[in-house]
Amino acid sequence: MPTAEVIGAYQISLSGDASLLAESNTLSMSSVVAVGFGDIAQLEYRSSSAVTTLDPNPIRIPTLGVQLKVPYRLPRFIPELAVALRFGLERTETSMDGMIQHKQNATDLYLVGRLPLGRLVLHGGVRASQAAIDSEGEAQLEDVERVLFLPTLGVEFQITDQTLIAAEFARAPLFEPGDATRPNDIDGGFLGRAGIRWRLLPWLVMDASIGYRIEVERIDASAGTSMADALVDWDMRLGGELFVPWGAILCRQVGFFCE
Amino acid sequence: MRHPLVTRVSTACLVLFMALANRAYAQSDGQQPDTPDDEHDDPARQDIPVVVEPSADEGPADPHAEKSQRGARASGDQRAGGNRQAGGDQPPALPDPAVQPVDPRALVAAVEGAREPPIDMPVMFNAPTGHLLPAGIVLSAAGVETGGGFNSDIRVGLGDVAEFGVGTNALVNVRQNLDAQPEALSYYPTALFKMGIAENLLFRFQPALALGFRKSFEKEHDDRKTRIAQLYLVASKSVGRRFRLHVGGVLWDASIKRSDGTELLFHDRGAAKQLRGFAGIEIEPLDRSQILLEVHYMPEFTLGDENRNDRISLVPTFSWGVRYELAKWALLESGVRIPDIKDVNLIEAQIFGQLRFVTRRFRKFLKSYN
Repeated sequence: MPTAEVIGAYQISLSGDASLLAESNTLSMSSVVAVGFGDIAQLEYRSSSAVTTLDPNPIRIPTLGVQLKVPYRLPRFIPELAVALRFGLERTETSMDGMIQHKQNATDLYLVGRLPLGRLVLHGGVRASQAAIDSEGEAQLEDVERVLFLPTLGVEFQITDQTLIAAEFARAPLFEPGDATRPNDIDGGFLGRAGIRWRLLPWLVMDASIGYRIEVERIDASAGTSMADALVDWDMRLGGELFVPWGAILCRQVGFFCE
Repeated sequence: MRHPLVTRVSTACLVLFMALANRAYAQSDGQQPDTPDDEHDDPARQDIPVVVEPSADEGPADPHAEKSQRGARASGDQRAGGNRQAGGDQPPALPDPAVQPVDPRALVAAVEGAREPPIDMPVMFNAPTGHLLPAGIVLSAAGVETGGGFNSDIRVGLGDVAEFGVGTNALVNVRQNLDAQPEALSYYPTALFKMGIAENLLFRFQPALALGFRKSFEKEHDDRKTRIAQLYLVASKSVGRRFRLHVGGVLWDASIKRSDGTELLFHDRGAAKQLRGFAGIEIEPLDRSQILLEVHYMPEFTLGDENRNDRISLVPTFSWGVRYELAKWALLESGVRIPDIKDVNLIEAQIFGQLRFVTRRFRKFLKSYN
């Protein structure tokens, strides 16, 4: 989930993580590039991969987003607020028999708040997600589009100056492409993650976490059983974030943005 | 008769020795050797924090204690004008003109690196503890058992609150049928993520707590693919200097994927079948030597004649043995492991030996940089 914070001005954040997906025994990667503007906004491009029921190989999910932070200093116990808009670019999945093509996309609008309470920081918000499945190749399969309001909640606890523990609970869109016997459906799935963030160096941050993968719930949705206790399908994720102070670099190298 | 040159050299050596001894004595006694007064404002010297060496009784590494100690040192330095000995009647410390300026960060890192206290081990023999590796410390292990099993493990401390590791083990057993003897599945590859908080961090008498998750890659054998995973919560408490207790609960999961595409999932049997407890104790009768006892559970796969008869169960395992600290960077472990307490069979007991190596280079690098 996004938080009510943005990348600083004249900075670029490059982040990525890798998740061990036991289903395919492969490593799934995701990456984000974010550029900060004037300490109140950031523009980001996100590219992530996921395992699906229809494709044995990880699929790419590109997203373009912008995030704005309310630029006022608020009184104590009033949370900082931010709005994030993420445009999901269309991706296509093909059914196992290759006959049906499912075009899926989701555009998300987040309203999130951040409330610092000493070493504890609470995050909360809601995600309005407009999701759609457009299927071709099966005449009886109707397209489906839904708007979901999905809650998100996060908590951080600062352990040392360099490290914090964080947990995140959210609901996210869950695509369930249909076939000749089953209609397309979109629902909300549970997503949980807990881990740590460690600032190794002033410009390098490392994340490590464990979580319950929504893809597993989706895979198992056809079987109609709960998978929250299926530990063998939980994932373990390692990530890093690199901050590039491009303004300072340009100032030093060519004399721009020095004033 | 002694040669005059020998006499001169001997005299020079004696004078030099006395000068060095005088200097060492003056420093150890809070005095300073005679040096010009006009050099005590050397900024390079003032920037060097004085490191108070922790005593051996101060116990294991505690990053917060370490940090507060550094803070105390820093504030003490400020009060003393950059010299811990300057608080009394003695004049401020003065640098030796012959000594070249030293990078203070490098000096602090070098001294602290040399004084690193022993770490609390994040694992007994096989069962986890509530302790975590300090940030940047790498712990690796390799060991063998009399049954031919090979265990290896490497993990790194992440920010004093977590650790990540990968390894292989030979602790998971498989039976070819219900009546067959269990055989160890060698080189079972796993990955580990563990997070938690150090002992006494939140309040006094608070045990060290850790939430860990270990899962395996797929392991192929007997036309099947198996996986295991465990989620555990463990608490560790020191009682005095020489006794530690570890208690935890673990939720196990496992699966067998058959060649016909069907899969047997352990969690289908319900959480009650997955949940087990584990415990261990550490006794340190001698410095650098520990006696360890642990009881924990491991999954066991039983293969049926037909795929439908496959079975997954949890078996209690008991290990005891010793750990000896060969050096600050090496530990030797040896003991006996009974793979299944319910079926005590000493013939199946395994004697194991294991070496663990502690590497602090990455931690020193981070400390010097930060």
